[in-house]
Amino acid sequence: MIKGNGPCNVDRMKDRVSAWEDGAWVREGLMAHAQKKAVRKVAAE
Amino acid sequence: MYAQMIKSEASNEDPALLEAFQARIDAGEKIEPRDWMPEGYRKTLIRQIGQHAHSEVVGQLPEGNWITRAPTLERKAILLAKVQDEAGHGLYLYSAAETLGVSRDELIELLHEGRMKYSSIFNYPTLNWADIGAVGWLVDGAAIVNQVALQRTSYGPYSRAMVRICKEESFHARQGYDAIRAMAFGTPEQKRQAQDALNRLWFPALMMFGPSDAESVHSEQSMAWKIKVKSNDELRQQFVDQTIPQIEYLGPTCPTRASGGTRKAATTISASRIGRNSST
Repeated sequence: MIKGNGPCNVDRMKDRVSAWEDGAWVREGLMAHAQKKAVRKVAAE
Repeated sequence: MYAQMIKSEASNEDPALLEAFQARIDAGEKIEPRDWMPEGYRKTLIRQIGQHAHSEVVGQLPEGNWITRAPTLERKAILLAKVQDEAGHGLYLYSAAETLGVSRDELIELLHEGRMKYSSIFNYPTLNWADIGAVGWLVDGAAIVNQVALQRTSYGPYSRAMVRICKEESFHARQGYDAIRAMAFGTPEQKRQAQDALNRLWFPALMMFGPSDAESVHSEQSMAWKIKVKSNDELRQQFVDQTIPQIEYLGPTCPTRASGGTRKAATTISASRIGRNSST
């Protein structure tokens, strides 16, 4: 346990990595939206 | 705590710069991202803040498992809010780490590849609803003790993140205490579950503060740089002192007491026997 392992260590990391991978499309969407807004802001100036 | 066992790095920089830096620390000044800092200070902080951020994020998992199984709508809403808060804490801390020149993506990659740690307390299972109360009460309670001290840490962005986090952690600990109180004063089965949760989580909560001072080999430089402001044993004793009266009020037997210790013998925490006994 002291070194980071424990009864649920494998489960926790599996869930964490899976949540990160499942959320990739949200991050991509947010980045695309932010880029679109940035381009529009520059065009308006 | 959420960031124990952090190895401090020594610095080989210009002695005059190091001396001026230490003088600022000793005078109680905050170090800001654009200020000169020893490379060891920066690296130690990245490890500590990163490990702390990972702990907040992974800490959502054992409690998140219980959102759909909370016993009442009120408990569900409270738990949902708490788990969301933990995500927010992770984000504040990743942002603080980013001011030191590391990206959030890099830190997350290191976590996922097993090259950065998080607090081992979150590797214990949450087997029943009383565990959720005990996690809030004991784990968040221990976290507050550490994080209140870290509000005075020398790195400005980390210190300010702690101020905000502590306000929310107080709510987390109170909701945990309220949940375990309901169990401790409930039916015989609820009392049994509350005792079982305390038995399993008491010693892991005490271990959140890390090894005893005598065995804490990485503390000295972190204390000098005020990355760490209180020793492991000081913080652990503070947690024990505030928690034992609560155990006595709630009624379950403190695990240290159950294993045969006397209150007097355990008042001072030793490396071999961490804890303090409840009285009768």
